[in-house]
Amino acid sequence: MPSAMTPRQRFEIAARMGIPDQVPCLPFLTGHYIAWFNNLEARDYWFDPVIKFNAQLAVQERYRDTMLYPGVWVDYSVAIETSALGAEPIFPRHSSPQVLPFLKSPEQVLALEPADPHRDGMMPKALDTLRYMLDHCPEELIEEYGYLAGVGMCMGPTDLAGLCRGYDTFAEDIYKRPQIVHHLMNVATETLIRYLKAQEEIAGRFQRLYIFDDAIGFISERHFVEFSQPYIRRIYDTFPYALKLFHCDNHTTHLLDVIAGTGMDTFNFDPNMDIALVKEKIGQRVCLFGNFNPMTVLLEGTPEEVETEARRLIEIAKPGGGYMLTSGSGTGAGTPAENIDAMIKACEKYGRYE
Amino acid sequence: MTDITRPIKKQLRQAVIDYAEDTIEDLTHQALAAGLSPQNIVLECLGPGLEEVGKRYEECTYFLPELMMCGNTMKRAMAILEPLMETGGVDRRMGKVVVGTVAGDLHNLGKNMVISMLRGAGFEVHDLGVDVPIHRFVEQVRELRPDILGMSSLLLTARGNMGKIIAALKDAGLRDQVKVMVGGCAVTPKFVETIGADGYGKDAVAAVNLAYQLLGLERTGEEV
Repeated sequence: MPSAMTPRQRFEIAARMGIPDQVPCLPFLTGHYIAWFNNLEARDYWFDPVIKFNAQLAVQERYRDTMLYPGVWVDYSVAIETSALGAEPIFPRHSSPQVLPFLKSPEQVLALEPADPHRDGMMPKALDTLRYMLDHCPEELIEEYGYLAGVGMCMGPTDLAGLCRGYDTFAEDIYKRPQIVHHLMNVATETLIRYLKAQEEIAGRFQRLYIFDDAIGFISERHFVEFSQPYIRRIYDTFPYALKLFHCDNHTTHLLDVIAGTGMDTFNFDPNMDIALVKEKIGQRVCLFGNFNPMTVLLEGTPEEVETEARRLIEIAKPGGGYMLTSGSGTGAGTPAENIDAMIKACEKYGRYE
Repeated sequence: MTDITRPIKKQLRQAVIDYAEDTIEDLTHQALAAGLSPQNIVLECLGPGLEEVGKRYEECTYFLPELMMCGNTMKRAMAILEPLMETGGVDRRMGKVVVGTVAGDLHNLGKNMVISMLRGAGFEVHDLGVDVPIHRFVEQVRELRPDILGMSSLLLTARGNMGKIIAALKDAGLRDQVKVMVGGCAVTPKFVETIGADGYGKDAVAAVNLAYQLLGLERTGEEV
């Protein structure tokens, strides 16, 4: 019997550790895939908000009954937050925006101050894009899929600090200049909170807050607890009413005893992690959101292999609720549509709750 | 017969593992004074130390900050050893490696980690940087005659250039003269097969192990 639940209802029940009619399936489709799907040059997708918006709608139309992750969103990749702090993003013709580290010396770090989202870097453009998307997005996608309205998104403070300083130098700072790391994390965190508050003025009180922080996988549990976790927590605590979604597609098995201390409600995690272990460690408190391998399974596999893998993940993580199927990182350009369809169908076939 | 250099070898290995930047230079001088050749110090002390670091990285007890610190520590030792390896007009370093991130990709973390670890392990490394065009890889292989060419890519949209570079090396008659290793998030074992590279390193530690393997080098340290 077809479900009466909207994709949004299914998502929100599962994300709050409940049991919906079936495990939600949210294909993780970001700019690399969306630009390729629409036969666009990457630079056009990432730089032009109207092209981007229409390209996202076209992908949604192709997978019309499925809520996508992140769905319709502002998406300037790493350019927004880093440029607000002083980076000069590059928009390559065939690739996502990229930045090079610009905080070369400890003195430059110590002189850094939190950004003003209405003035600095690409934040004003990102806020304008959010306004444009909200004004033009079909009502159905806002109401039934939960896109844009009441949704906040930002890069995590560890990624922001690492990109601005250079991940390798940032890692060295942890041992040699810990006060620099704390200063940079403070500035990054305050910048992100200001940016999110500016988003909230446009999108409305947050119902959902996404933080994407891949760099936490680069550091040990001890360093995570000292240099990263309190800052992520501070951002989430600023918006206590929002559902808190966290993404890290680096390996974080070593952080599983402490990672929930960020305040996250859902965890989108690395495709190479053992989902059974993640379920055992944090699955009673946090909704698991993963962890298909987008390369070896979705890109390179067959629909049959996709179905087999989806079934395996569902059988491990579905019991008791609090599970949503997606990939551990963004789906790559060139991924066959039939593989994404196979993932969605497998969720319908094996993901039903009795 | 008792090996009188054993204690210093052990201390050097341990200094790499403990990222003891402050003592590694003294220990390197002591090892040379004890009669160890620079090559022996690399193969019997620093290399095995690095191997243990790699093991700890695999076991998730060491992470990027620890790798950086170990890399810095080995760099200090190599600054003393490298000039001695070149004496007499003969270069006795482990091998020559040219490394770059392919065109269309500006990511440098993985490449930089590989370079740091390879240098620490005694290799002469030439860094071509990021967003490196195909023709530059070919030119540098022709000019520098490396033993190994390393290529990195984190982007699916850029990784296709790896296959084009290997094809260009064939066209230039250079492919048989150089081993090709690749790495980065966009690279999978299946992809490596399709482009005809000689090996794939999933991280910086694996890349160093692969480099040793491709050149038939053996590290001979004792258990620490």
